[in-house]
Amino acid sequence: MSPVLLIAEHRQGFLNPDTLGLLNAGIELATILETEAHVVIIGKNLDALAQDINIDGIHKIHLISAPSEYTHDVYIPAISSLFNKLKPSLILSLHTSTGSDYSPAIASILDIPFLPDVIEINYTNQIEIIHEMYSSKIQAKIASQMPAVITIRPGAWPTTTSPGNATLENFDVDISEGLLNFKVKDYEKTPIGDVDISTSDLLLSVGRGIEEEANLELIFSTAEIIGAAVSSSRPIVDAGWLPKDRQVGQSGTKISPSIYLAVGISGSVQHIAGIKNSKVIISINKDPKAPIFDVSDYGVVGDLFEILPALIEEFR
Amino acid sequence: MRILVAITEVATPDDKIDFSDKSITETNFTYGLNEWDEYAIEEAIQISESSPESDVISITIAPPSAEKTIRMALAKGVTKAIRVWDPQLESLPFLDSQLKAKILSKVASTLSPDVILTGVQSSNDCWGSTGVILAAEIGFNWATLVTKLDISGKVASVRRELENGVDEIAEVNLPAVFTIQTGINEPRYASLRGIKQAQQKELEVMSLGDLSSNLDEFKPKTNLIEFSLPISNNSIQYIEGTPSEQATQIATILKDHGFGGS
Ligand SMILES: Cc1cc2nc3c(=O)[nH]c(=O)nc-3n(C[C@H](O)[C@H](O)[C@H](O)COP(=O)(O)OP(=O)(O)OC[C@H]3O[C@@H](n4cnc5c(N)ncnc54)[C@H](O)[C@@H]3O)c2cc1C
Ligand SMILES: Nc1ncnc2c1ncn2[C@@H]1O[C@H](COP(=O)(O)O)[C@@H](O)[C@H]1O
Repeated sequence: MSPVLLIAEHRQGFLNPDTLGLLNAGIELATILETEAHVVIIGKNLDALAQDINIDGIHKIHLISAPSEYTHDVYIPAISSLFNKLKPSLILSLHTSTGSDYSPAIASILDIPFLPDVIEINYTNQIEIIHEMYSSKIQAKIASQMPAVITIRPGAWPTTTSPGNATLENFDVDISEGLLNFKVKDYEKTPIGDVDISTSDLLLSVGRGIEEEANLELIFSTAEIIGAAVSSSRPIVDAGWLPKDRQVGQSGTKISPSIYLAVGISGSVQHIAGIKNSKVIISINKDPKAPIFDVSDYGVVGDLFEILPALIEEFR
Repeated sequence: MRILVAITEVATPDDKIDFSDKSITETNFTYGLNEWDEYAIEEAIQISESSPESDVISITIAPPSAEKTIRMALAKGVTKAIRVWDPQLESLPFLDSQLKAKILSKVASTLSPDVILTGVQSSNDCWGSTGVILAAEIGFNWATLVTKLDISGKVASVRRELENGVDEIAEVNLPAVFTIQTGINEPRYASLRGIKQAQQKELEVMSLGDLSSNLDEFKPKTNLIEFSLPISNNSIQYIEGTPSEQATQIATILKDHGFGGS
């Protein structure tokens, strides 16, 4: 069987650590398919990055030098030409802002199946993956022929590795910058205001279950009495009720408090991505099937408008 | 300027989902516009309002039952709606992103748009990829996860939301597809007048045969083996009782960890 091709993700000189999970997924699959796991890394100053991905189980690392930071205009021709040379049985990348920006287009250009946001991969004569639907309330097991392009969910595979001795190989692709239709101008980081939720030890986090901006009053008075900082899920920030630096999750802030108290938050994949380093998670949600309970240590199935006032009473 | 916006109706499940191996029965569901598409519609309307002689055409792949939701988009200011459906799609357990994008690109290519907007993802299928495939299929540039979009002439300046609070500022040449992230704007409500006008607006219905003479183009590349419920191996401890008993237990946990004073 031809190799499994894994696409390393990096930006501004740093490897996305979830790449190691991707490599482990690829190594696992290569073993099942009795083939080799190859990685490709694209960009400039690749030497140090190549060290980071040279882990046990990887056979070969393809280095493609490109003049700029990530853009899909660079990655797509690079990966497509390597695909034509290597004829891999699968292409695997991360389902991140980067991976989901180029991977679907690669599948389209190569006219092969595309399987996004995958949390499990198996093989029995065909590739079988698991993808979550309906806000993580249903799983679909989907079959595909090979070759195919798969994006895997960051965090779905372990990231522990040991050093390896893969062969490094340069692969030349002409990516003339003049052709680029997409120009990166700058990167900007959300400024942090009066509270830095990434260092808070007790967070009271509020989601769409709060219903109205006026009801935030209940959250702030509870937070004050228990000594918590207030954070939130995305819709609260989208609505402009709290500033962006209070948003917990994949596109917000990753937090690591002793206690994360989540009220009226359903527990979307993108939210959970930010709370995994919490020591204790307590959730209050009126929906007993809310996915937040799958990652919580303590669950309260109930109405936040009844429980929080009662909690305030406890501390009076 | 011609702006297309791909919009989808989504079903949000209650706490109980009826499904079998191969199909989900959307009972106990509430229907509405996909959250991301609400923002895409608003963005489309705002672009059209700021450039003369613009129109906004929405495209939806859905059975007739979605027309009530499509009319909501017309009520908000979409000029015209197109709905694509076909018996061939009826029998599928879901539409994968490649199939959706193929259909959307066929419709879009006859309309010569300058800008196509989609949502970042649909909350039912959660592929998060239809927009990019659509761009690749139709040969347009694209930018994903857009939280700010300024169009001036043939160039769009965008802010894209990456991970961990980092944004990318970039420029893309038109024509292009933009996948719109929530929070980019404040979606408007339909006015009563808008709702009235929506009844008079055109809602064109197309079949796959109207898009291509070769229906094999619309065969999905993947197939469903089965649906199942997620298995939780989490050892959660539920706090039972009346709200005040539950509050007492939460207070105890907080105090045990040294929070909340005494
Ligand atoms: C690329 C991308 C990045 C994203 N990044 C993030 C991110 O960083 N952070 C983030 O949070 N989201 C992010 N999202 C959005 C995410 O997909 C969800 O839309 C969002 O997390 C939902 O927020 P929520 O749980 O507050 O709302 P909902 O999903 O609407 O959940 C509200 C919950 O409140 C419960 N509830 C309602 N009333 C009550 C009550 N009275 N008492 C108790 N419970 C009640 C309901 O049962 C429900 O579970 C991202 C999405 C995408 C596509
Ligand atoms: N059935 C559909 N009809 C029209 N547009 C759709 C449909 N499904 C998805 N889209 C568009 O594609 C976006 C991403 O959806 P998905 O790739 O399914 O997560 C949505 O926000 C819509 O803009």
